[in-house]
Amino acid sequence: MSDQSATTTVANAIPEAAERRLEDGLFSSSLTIGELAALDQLGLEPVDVVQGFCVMHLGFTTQMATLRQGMTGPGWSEQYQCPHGFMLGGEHRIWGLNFEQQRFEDAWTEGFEQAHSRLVDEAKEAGAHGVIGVVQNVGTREGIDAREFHLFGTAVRLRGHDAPAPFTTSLAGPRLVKLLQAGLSPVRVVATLAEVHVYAVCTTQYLCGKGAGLGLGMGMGMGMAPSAGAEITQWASAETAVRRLARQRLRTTLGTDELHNVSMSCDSAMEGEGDGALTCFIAGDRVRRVAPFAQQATPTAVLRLS
Amino acid sequence: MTNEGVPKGASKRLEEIEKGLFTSDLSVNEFLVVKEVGFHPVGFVMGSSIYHIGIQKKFGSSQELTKLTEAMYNARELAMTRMEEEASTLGADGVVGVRLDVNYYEWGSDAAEFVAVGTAVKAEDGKDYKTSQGKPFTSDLSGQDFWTLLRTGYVPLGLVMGTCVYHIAHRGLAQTISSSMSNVELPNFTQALYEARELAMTRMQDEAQVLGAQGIVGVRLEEKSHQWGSHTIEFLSLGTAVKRGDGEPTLPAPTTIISLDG
Repeated sequence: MSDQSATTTVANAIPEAAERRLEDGLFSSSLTIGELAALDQLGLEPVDVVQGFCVMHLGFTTQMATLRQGMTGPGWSEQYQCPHGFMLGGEHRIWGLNFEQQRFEDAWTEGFEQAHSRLVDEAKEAGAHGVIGVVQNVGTREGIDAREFHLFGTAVRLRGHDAPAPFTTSLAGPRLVKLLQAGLSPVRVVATLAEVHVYAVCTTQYLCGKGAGLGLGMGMGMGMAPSAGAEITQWASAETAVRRLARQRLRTTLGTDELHNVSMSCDSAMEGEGDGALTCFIAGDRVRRVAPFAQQATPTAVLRLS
Repeated sequence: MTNEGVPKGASKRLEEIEKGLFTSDLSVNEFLVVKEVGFHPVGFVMGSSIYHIGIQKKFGSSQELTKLTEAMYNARELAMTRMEEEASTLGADGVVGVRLDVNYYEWGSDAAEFVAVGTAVKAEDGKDYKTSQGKPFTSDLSGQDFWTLLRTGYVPLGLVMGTCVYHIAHRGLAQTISSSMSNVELPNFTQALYEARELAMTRMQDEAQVLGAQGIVGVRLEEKSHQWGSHTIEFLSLGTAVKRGDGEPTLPAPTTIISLDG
């Protein structure tokens, strides 16, 4: 594996210990016993626990460099002008910018895809048809200025069939059974991250600052009512944009397939008075319709006495 | 007391249990399903080991700290063996709901207590469910999972584990500076953490093979830095080794339900 490039050959990325583990002929599974029992219904058998892993360094940039990227980069952006007619800045921010941090998003996607490729490689090595119950752990580790991507699941084989390219899904057990019964087939787990930076214009700075609650000083000068509630439009717009961008990014990977079992989480970090960054993470299962929807069995109503 | 490692206090408690009183940390529901599948609890059993974990020199490169790996492994094995001895004393066929914990105390900064606890169970049909080594089987499965496993035609053999304590090297100043502005994979870290997890899982599978298992279910992969600092991490892989039993699967076909509870 090269020390310089992140786009290394994934086949060489599986450690020797993994190859030895996958060859020992013993099955292992991270599924619950209930999920394991449901596999039988589908004609699937567990092969091995498989994993894919990648550590990505996400480069440090200064605020000015980030801002320059936002102004000149290919991603989404929107400008805000000072409503007070100031021509020169000084202490007063006469313009603001919301912009997509595409460089960071691309690096995140590359890290996730590397980890996914390695998961699939381990599954291929094990002769599996797919990986079910995939758990995604994306996080940071103390002391390492980097992002970790760890995908972990149970490789399964369909009895009596040849193995095509393995599918991956976070579903397992009864939920996977219901998906298949509904005429859908899993394709792969997908995830994406969108990031939007906020470089605050004067009004955003004021509303996010300590003076806003008191309605003093700068606020009075800006013609805002003391202690009046007001929407912080620049942040509200960034919140909307980051969700939309994440959805758009994910949609471009789907082709004609559908997305199910979606989870979305958003986070924000303030980096100064009114400045900050918003991230939106979306993960789900890309699935393909292989049969028309058929009505499931009518459920039996139960009332627990405990 | 004939069993080495089991304290006198435990012997007295186990003698009382042998007279017919049973204790169990199973919930009421777990107790019912364990009974339904043909086992009854005979006693709550435990094993403990207080182990002095030495220090090991950390080098500039990412690598396994074999002394620490060995210490973590031995300590857990001792606790597990003592728990199995308590179960054997009770004439149990196995131990279900096993939990393995590590506790640290103020009075021993380099020492840790490794504790294994679970509920010893005995088969009501008189069949021998012990392992090929003549020991009671162990499993971290809940009562419900134990029921489902037996109904699918498998029997548990043992709680198997693999551990690997790994030192993740600090990045050099030159490396840090050269990559500070770029988004790149850190292949050394990727390989180090990848390798450590794989070693833990491989060792777990090696244990299962010694038991003559056909598979391992409920595999968990845990990470802990314990008291070593963030760059030294223990990767612990745990699961229950299983093999096909003599009987046919008897798991009923599932029924689709809709809960009327709010």
